[in-house]
Amino acid sequence: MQWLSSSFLSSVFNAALLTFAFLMIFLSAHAQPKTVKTNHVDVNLWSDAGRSSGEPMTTVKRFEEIQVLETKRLANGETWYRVQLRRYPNGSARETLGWVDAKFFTDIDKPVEADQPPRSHSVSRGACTDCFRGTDRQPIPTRQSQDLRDVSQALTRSGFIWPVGGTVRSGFGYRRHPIRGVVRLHKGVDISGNNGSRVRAAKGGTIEVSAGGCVNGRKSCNGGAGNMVTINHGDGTKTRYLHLNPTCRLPARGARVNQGDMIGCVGATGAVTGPHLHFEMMKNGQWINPLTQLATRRPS
Amino acid sequence: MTLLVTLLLPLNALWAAQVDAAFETRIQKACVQSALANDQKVKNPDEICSCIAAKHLAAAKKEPTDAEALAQLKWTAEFYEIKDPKALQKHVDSDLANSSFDEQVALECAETLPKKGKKK
Repeated sequence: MQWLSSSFLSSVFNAALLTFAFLMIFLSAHAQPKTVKTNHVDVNLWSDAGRSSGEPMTTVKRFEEIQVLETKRLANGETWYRVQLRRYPNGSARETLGWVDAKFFTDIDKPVEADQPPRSHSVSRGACTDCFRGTDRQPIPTRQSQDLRDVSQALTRSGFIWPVGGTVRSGFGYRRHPIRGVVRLHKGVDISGNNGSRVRAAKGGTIEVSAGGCVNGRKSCNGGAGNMVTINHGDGTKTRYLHLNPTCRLPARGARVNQGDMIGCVGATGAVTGPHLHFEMMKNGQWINPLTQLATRRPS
Repeated sequence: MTLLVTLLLPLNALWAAQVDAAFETRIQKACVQSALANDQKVKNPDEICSCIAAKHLAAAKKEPTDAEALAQLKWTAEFYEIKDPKALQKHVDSDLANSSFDEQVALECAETLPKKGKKK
């Protein structure tokens, strides 16, 4: 009985010691304030964690360093940082507190690939790992620097880049129904892509329409367009991106996007038979063939 | 009440299955007739039309509500049944989402099936 009692006390003591050690490790990991930065062009700073619509407070600019005050894991698997943004507009410091999506940021002591020689292999056609909840398998700097290389490779004189890597499954123009013979204008091009592949802004501009809320299977959602984004490029041209994936957050209406910024992921929402991007281009209110404006060389 | 529900549930499932089968057959038949009446010679109309009907049925089953699924199947069946070109155009314009979906389904079925036949 005495032996049993001492054994019991010993195991209780060991358990308490182990808990204390874990607590210390946890506290040391969380007590240290960390500084992060983004190599994305601009990342929105929101008043609350998980915000994806409405007006952001401001943006965190590329390579700008910010202090993380708190880390919050949302129910949907996303991680958000509560940060302190300090700027010196007129010589005096102005601080802004807000929330940013952690996936766009990296610790400053970690190497950023944009500062290193480019790798020989291409990874740009890989699935959009960061758009699915809680699946951050690749470091963000790798993807972003590859994005930038793709952008520079695919630039054309018209200034548009391919929004997604893939082959054109169905072109622009009139299509005849094979059975009924009804002729309809296909107002864009259908670009094949893996479900979840990143969709990028073909050119910089302002988000004019950002319509989400569609899930796969409901064909009539948003009139068949599914989740969609329209960008007004301010020069009389607009681009539309249809059938976007419901698991990827869409940019807010009125937000400014730069060329190559991720605006969604390839999906199968709306009236579609499978995942692809329906990409439309309009000039002065008229639909035009996007292939005439895009580079012959697609992002690999 | 429980007894009533227990009795009605299998009946409801049976009715739904019959409706499914009825619409699939209706779409397929109308499609074949339309293909045969079409000026353009359609290869393998039976196979293409059964592919179209099956895809429409599968897609309708993914709809969140039975009402939407039935409305889509009804629209599709009517699309293949209408003979008057003006009425057909009006029908197409009445539901552009369904029309676009059917066009994709028909093109996919028409493109893939003859190729499969050649491989054999």
